[in-house]
Amino acid sequence: MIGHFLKRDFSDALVLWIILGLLSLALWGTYAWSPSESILMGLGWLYFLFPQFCTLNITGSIVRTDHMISRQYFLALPLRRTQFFFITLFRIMVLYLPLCFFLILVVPFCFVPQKLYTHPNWYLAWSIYVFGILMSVVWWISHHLFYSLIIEQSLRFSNSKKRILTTLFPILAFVLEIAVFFSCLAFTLLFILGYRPFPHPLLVYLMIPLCIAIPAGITLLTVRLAKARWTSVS
Amino acid sequence: MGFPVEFQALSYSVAKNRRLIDDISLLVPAGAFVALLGENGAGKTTLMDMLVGFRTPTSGKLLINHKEPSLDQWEQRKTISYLSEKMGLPGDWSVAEFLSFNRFFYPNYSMVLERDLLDLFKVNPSERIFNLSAGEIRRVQVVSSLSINPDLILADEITAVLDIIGRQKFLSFLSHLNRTKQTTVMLATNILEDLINHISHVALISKGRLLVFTDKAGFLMGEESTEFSRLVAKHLDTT
Repeated sequence: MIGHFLKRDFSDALVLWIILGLLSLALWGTYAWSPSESILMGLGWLYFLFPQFCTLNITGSIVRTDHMISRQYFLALPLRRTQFFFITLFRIMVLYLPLCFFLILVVPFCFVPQKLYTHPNWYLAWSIYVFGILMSVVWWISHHLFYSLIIEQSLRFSNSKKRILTTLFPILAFVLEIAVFFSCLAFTLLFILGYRPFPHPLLVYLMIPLCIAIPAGITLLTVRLAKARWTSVS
Repeated sequence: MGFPVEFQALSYSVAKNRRLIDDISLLVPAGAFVALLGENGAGKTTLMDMLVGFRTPTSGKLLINHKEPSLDQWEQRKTISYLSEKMGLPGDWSVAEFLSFNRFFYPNYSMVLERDLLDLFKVNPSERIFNLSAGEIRRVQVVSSLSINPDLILADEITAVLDIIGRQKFLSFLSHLNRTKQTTVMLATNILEDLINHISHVALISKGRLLVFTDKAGFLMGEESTEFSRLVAKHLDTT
């Protein structure tokens, strides 16, 4: 089932995949010849922008046009709607794979001072970092799906105050989530690498599980909200 | 054999005081061809959305073949054709690519029927969807939806963008499926022309309420017809 969708996605975004491949080759070639952090920054932006261009092929148009496959079409297919949502999530995640590989494999080894790798807890810190990257990608995609549908819903309200509030609330939630999400992950990483902000050890033992559970909880909640919106029209 | 459709005191609201569907009860027998009529905003599309399971009833029950569509009856959807003007198709695909993508999901899909329908509706499979007119896009949708060998056809205002010939062919084909395979058809429309030759039942809704549900015989009887005509004239924009 998922292969049927991925085959179609690859074919739809073939030109963009080729452009991505060519630009990557050019930038990596330049980096090999003359290493520079700005080239790596450029690569990061390239891998971040790539899925933004391709996602519309998957999600369809929110503000409907005649030439975009619509959510109604997919929801009418004989496919479990929950399954359809997770297929959609996975299809978008595939577009983020270059960014994930870049963040997981390139950033820690090229940007972070090498002396960090002599730290005894280095592997643990890297595992938490990978967990954080994967969680944030799933959270980001779910938020994107959820917010697009909130915008669609807000267009129905004739009351402009309600329209503005409906649009603003998810933005505020997004800012709050991003602050909590990354603070938790940063705290955990710093703690593993030796930073001790709390004098009492009990607080630390309470904080560390919380700092992993909170980002995971935020992600799961966002996925759940996005699924509920994505699988119904009302 | 077609699916029976049952509405039991069905209501749907979007806000506290805004009822889009208001206490509709009716039983559509298996193999019926129902014309669902009503003015713009009467609730035809909302009713169709509920039949496909896009919306969950606020109260009451809706049953297709004794199952609630709002509970994601995905297996049942293998034999339900849903045709709606709201369903956008991908402009950068060819018709053949779309048909190939679509048929993957339907185990009873008939290639013979698809070929016949492509001929009947004069659809060129190699054409890009982007280059088609709105009516031609609906013809592609008709081909893809009716080739699945449906037990129930839900058509929401689909005939509005078809030309006269396309509309006649579409109605005749629905009639053919209805007669030969007992397929249940629910057609929401505002265009009454030629409809009487094909349908078996008529349902008229207005402001979310069911005004009349009658079979064709009842509809053609003088008194009922007069009453019905009066209601249609009152509630439809097109008359």
